Amino acid sequence: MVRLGLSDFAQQRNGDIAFANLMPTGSVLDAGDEIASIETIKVNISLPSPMNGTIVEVNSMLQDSPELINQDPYGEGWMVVLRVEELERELGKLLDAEAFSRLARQQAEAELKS
Amino acid sequence: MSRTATYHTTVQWKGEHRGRIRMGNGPEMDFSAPPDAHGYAGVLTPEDAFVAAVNTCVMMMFIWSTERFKLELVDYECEAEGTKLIELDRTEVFTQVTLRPRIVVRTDAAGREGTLKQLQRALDSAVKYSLVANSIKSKIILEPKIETVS
Repeated sequence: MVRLGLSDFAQQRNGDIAFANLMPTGSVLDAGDEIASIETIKVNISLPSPMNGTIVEVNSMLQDSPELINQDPYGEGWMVVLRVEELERELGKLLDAEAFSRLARQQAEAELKS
Repeated sequence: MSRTATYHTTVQWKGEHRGRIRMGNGPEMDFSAPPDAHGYAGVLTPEDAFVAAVNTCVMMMFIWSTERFKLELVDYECEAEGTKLIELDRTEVFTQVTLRPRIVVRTDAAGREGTLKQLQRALDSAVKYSLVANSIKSKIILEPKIETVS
């Protein structure tokens, strides 16, 4: 099982969240399929699943309190739990926290220079 | 995405303590200082323009926020008050701007609590994302009065 949500970088970059519409429990997803559409005060964003799997749980608190994504993205602001068949192989396709942090910093610095 | 934008106004002295301002967005008007600062009544003043800039910017951001939060806004009116402090060295500063919006929003009884919570978030977002509110060092104080109708 993996728990998915928005990174702290993404929540800060996109602004205060007004609505988070999550795909329902039971949804079978391929990597890249939408797990949530998010409306912030500034933009609408579609959050893709980073891996293949089936949604087995959604965070119902986000329906009334989507601001939890801004306040606690790695805690109470989680979005869905995904059951993944080949977890090790799927995780191997992803960046670890350190590599993601480096990438986010590079993106932010590049945007500030543009 | 460009990270900067520019806005312009042009002022011209019209004699005595009077001027004419041409706004980048079109309108032109006379201005002066307030009567208690050797100016004239009945025209725009920098003090009024400052308080108006905060009031209008926060209102426009609030309207946008209510749209993003899908709130059904019925009415909005906001009195703004800027507080000027005269320092010991006679310099002056707006220390705070108090906004007193009177807001009417439509909701049913079942959704009232959620609507009020979202409305407060929309107000907070309006101040947070207001360009003018972000650009000044005066403290922004919100004193809303909220009414719901079904």
